[in-house]
Amino acid sequence: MSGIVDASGEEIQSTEKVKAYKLYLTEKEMQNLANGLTAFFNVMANENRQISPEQTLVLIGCLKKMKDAIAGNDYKIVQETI
Amino acid sequence: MTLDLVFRNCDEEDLGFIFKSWLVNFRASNHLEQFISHTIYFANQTALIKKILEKSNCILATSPEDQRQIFGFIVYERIKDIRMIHYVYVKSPFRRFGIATQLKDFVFMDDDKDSIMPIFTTHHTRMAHLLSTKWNLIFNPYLLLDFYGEKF
Repeated sequence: MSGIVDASGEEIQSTEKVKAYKLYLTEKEMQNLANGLTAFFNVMANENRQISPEQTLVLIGCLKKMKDAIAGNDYKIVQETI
Repeated sequence: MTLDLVFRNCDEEDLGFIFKSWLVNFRASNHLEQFISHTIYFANQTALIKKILEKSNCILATSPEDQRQIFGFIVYERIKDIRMIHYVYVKSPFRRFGIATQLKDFVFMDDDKDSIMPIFTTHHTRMAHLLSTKWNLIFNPYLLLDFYGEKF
């Protein structure tokens, strides 16, 4: 996925440091979020509503991260609280 | 700004999505809504789409991670030298990424890029009208009569 581009179409290589959170979600929560995000896109499409391409890229990126996380081995076993 | 895409052929599971999005969005994207009743439109357009899909090719633009996540599709046909686009649809959240153009370029990728031969479109929409110069599109609904005339 490409990064942010300027008006001439050139990709901007950002060196800005940003906060990144270490967030533990259970597999069920992660799966529900991923499904919810996919459903969100479908609902938007059904209602013919648009969001900005920048927001779309961010959300698609989140979806990819969640799916990668579910498929990966970087997790810890926790006691689920209900 | 681009989205990573994977193009694939349409299969049975996609047909529901294709029918629904084509029927609903085509009705909303031209002036037909004002003049054709709901019942007449849905009955006849459904039959037309079914007939077109039997004869044409349909390519979907999907997410590389999940090919069931569809961004859009193109239904096109080539009869001898005539290139026809019946319909192109991109889901609203994924517009402005050039997905429709990438679909068009993908399905006609073997063609000479500088060809002056137009692409005919059988369905007129506001977006097709806006793209007519850029894509060298000519709206010709009578092609449907030529190729599907036995039923319509």
